[in-house]
Amino acid sequence: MIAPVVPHNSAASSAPFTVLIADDDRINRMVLHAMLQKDGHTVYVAENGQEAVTLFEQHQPDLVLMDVMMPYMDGYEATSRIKALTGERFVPVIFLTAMTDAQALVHCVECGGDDFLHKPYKHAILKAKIAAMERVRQLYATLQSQKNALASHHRRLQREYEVAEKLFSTIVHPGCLDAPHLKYLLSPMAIFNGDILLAARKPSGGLHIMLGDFTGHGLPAAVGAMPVADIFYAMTAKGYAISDIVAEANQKLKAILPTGVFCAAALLDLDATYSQLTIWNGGLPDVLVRQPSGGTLRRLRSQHLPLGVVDNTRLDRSVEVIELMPGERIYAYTDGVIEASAPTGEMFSQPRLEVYLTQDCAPEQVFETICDGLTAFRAGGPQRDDLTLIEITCDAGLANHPSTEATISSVAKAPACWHMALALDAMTLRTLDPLPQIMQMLMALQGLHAHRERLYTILAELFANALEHGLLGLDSELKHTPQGFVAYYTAREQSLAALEHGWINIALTHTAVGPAGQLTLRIEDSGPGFDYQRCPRDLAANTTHSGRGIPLVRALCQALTYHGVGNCVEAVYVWSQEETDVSQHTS
Amino acid sequence: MSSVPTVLIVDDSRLSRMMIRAFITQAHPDWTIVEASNGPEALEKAATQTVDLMTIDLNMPGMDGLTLATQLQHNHPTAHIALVTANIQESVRQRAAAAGMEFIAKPVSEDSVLACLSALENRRA
Repeated sequence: MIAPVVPHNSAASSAPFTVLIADDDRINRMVLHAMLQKDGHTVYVAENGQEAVTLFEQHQPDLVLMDVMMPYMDGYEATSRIKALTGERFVPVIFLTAMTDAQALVHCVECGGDDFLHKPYKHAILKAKIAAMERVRQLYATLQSQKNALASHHRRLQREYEVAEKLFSTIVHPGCLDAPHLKYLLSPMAIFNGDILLAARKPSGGLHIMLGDFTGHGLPAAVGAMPVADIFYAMTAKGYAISDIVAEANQKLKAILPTGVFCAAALLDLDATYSQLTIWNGGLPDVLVRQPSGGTLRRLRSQHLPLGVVDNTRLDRSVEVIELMPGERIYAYTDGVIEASAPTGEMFSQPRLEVYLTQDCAPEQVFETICDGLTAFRAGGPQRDDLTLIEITCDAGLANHPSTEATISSVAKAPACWHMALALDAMTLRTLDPLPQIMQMLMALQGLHAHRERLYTILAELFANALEHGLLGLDSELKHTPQGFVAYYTAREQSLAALEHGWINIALTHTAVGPAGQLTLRIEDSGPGFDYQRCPRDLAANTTHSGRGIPLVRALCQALTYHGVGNCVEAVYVWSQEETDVSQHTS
Repeated sequence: MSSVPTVLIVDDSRLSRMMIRAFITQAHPDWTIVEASNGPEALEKAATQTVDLMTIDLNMPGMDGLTLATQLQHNHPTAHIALVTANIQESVRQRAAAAGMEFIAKPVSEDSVLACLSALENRRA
C-alpha cells in the first residue's frame, strides 16, 4: 500500500480530497462548497444527517464536514454511524459549529469528531485544517500498512513454523519411548526443543537410547537434532553399535554446526536381557544407576567431549560397559534439570537430584518424586533451558513387551538363488564390524525385513563365537561372574586390537524350495575349533556378550550343524511368503 | 607464582565449565583447574589457593561477573582475568580493558580459549 505524497509543511496546499458536507443551511453549504471546489476537491452535499450517512456509503469520501443541529438525524448520530462504517480507514470528521459550550464540544469528540471549524468560515483556516487532517490520515495509513505487513508476516511465520515443526517431529520422533520400562520428562522452552531424546529397538533385541542437549535453545539448537535423529534411527536399525553412531553423528555435526555450537550427548545400549549397559557419555551430567533398595548410586561420568566439537580423528569413541542387576534403574538427564532455578536464583543442583535418588522411596515412585520435586522447586519461575529426564528400568520382563512401533512394511522378494561369500582377514576384523553390511545386502537381495531380527541374531551369535572363541581364544567361563563380564569385555577389546593373524569366512547361500526360501549361513574361522560332539552342554551354556547364545540360535533355525574340528558352523533358515505376511501383522 | 598454573573457571553452566576445562586440559594436561558455579563459591575457593588465571562468566545469577572479577582482582592482583561473554556493552568493555582484563567470546571455542592462554603465557614469560 502506497500512501499519497503530500507536503507536510504547507497548510496552503493539499492533495485533492473527496469531501462530504452535511449542513441543513443552504448558504453555509454553498460557501463551503465554493471554497473546497476552488482548492480542487470533489464535493458531495447532504442536507441532513440521514442523507449524509447515505452519501457516505455511496461515495466513500476522504473527509466529512458535519453540522451539529440538523433535521431527521443530527450530526452526533450521523458521525457515530459514519465512524462505524469506516472500518480500518481513517476518515476525519470536522464539526461545523458556532457553539462554545464545552459540554457540547466534548460530545462532538465522544461521537467520533476529530476537529472543529467555527463559523463564520475562513478559507485559510479550512485549508489548514484539511492539510492537518491529511497528515494524520497519512500517518494512520502508514501505521495501518505496517500493521498489515506485520500481521501477514506473523501469519507466514506461523505457517512456516507449523510446517517446520511437523517436519521436525516426523524426523526427530520419539521412537519406542512409550515402552513400559521407560519414563521420561520433556520440557522444552520453546516450540523447538534443543534437547533430544530418542529410543529404538536393536535388530538383535535390546534398546538404543540417545539423550542430547544442543548448545542454546529454540530453533537454532533444534536444527542439529534432525540429522542426529536420522543417523541414530537408520544406524540402529541396521545393527550398528553406539560407537559407530557416535562417530557418524559427530562427523555430521562437526561439519554442519557453527563453531561453539555442539551437542552434549549420551548414547546407551541395553542388551536384550537388560543385564548389560554400554554407554558413551560426551558432556552430559553423570548418568546414575540406582539399586532397587536405594543406597549408593553408580555413576557413569562424561568421559568425552560433546558431539560436534572435534573432528573424528580426535574423537574418542570408546565406550564404558557395566553389568546391570534386575530392578536397577538408570537415570539420564540434561543440564536443564540440575540447573533449573528457583525464583531466588538458587539451582536445583546435582546434590539435590541425588538426594531424591538415594532417599528411602519405592523404586517405582522415584521418577514421579523427582518430577514433583522439580516442579515445586521451580515454583512457577521462568524456565532458562530445555529440560529432559529419563528413567530406564532394568526388567527383562518389561523389555520383551510387544512393540507398539510400526513395522517396516516391505514385502519379501520371491525366493531367488544367490550366493555371497566374504573372507575377512585379521586387519579387517580389527577395524570393521561386517554385520550391518551383510544385513543390508541381505535386505537388498531378498527383502526379509520381517525376519530381520531373527537373522541378525543368528548371524551375530555365530560371528561372535567365531571371533571371540575361535580367533581370540576367550574363555566364556569368565562371563558367569558379575565382575567377570567387564573383565571379559576388556579382554575382548585388548585381544581384538592385538589380532595379527587369522581369518573368518562368511558365506550366505539362498535357494528357492518351492514357494519357500532357504538361507544357509556358513561361518568358518581359522581357530583350533572344539570337540562339539563331546561337549554339547558347554555349547548350551555358552552365551555370548549379547546375552542370548547358541540355544536361542538353535531355536530360530531349521538346522544348526558343526563341521570339521568345530571351527565351522552352518545354520539353515527357512522362510515363506505367508509367514512373512503373518509376522508383519503380528510383530 | 608456582610453576604449574592454577586456573579458576567461574560459570553457572556446567557445560561451559566442562568445555573450558577440556580445552585447557588438552593444551596443558598438567595445569590445576578449579571450578566454581557462582560468585561466593569462587571467592571462597580463590581465598585458599594461588590462582594464576580466572575465566569468569559475565552473566550469572546472583553476583554478576564484573563485580566478582573486580573483587578477585583486588584479592589476587597478579592473576590474569578473562571475562566470558556473549554480548558486551561498550562501557563494560572499556572498564574491563582499563582494569587489564581479557575477553573470551561466547560460545566458547577452542581457539578463543587457547588465545587467552597464550596471552597469559606471554605475561608469565
